[in-house]
Amino acid sequence: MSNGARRKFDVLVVGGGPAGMAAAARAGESGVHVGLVDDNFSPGGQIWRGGVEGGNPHAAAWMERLQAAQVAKLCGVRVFHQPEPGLLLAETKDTVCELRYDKLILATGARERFLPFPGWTLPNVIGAGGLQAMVKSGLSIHGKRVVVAGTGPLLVAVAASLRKDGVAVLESLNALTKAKGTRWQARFPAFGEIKQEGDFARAY
Amino acid sequence: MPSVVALTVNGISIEVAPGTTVAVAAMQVGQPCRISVTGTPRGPLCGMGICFECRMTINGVSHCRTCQIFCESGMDVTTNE
Repeated sequence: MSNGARRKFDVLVVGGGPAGMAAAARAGESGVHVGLVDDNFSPGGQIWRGGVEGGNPHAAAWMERLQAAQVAKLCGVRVFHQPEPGLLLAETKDTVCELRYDKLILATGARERFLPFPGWTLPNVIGAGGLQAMVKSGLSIHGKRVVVAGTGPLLVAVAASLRKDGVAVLESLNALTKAKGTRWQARFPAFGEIKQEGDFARAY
Repeated sequence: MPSVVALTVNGISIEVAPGTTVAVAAMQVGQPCRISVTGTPRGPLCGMGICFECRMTINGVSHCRTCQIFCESGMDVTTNE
């Protein structure tokens, strides 16, 4: 995006993950002028991070639709202010740009919630999704030793993908009830055995 | 596109693949991204541009969110103090 740009769209979509990509493609296919804004280098969001170039067929299909619908992809552009209705201000690496719109779609997604604990600010203590994002951004973790801890089924998936990348997962701890552990075990058999120990479940 | 990108982090030279973020380069050479107001080292936490823990000085510009910035040849990256 050029410096100090001013752009006007019929529909502006903020957030370039799967939902934002779908919204922008659909709107563009109906013939209106659509802009898709995302802070990241390319559309795809966290789920398809790196997948647009990396051969994820779902991501590639939506990218083709965005292209065909002539959606303007504004990447590396971060919205920070709405000074008046119909106008958003966004920053790029070098400048600030004005984005005007008739309709606005917010598809800003979700993020991990970090609950503080002693030591949580030390370097190399990383969010589970954050570590996956960093690996997709080039971090070499082969041969590293990792403890995965917290709550939620994402942890089990993260532990599985770490093992696949050659990481020694020293512990995979999940704060959950026995009933929930059993449900996950039934739902995610590929993740292996989940063993309950007190308030925590260990995933193997 | 070059096959490797060469940059320095706190004076340490590192070569990374194109498409590698600056936060990753800092982790690979074991350098903290920033020093907190109480003097403790900090590194990337969220990896997706939300938490601002990975702020570093890039080519003299402080408080750059390094997990959202690709490495470029000749970049001079330093811990944000």
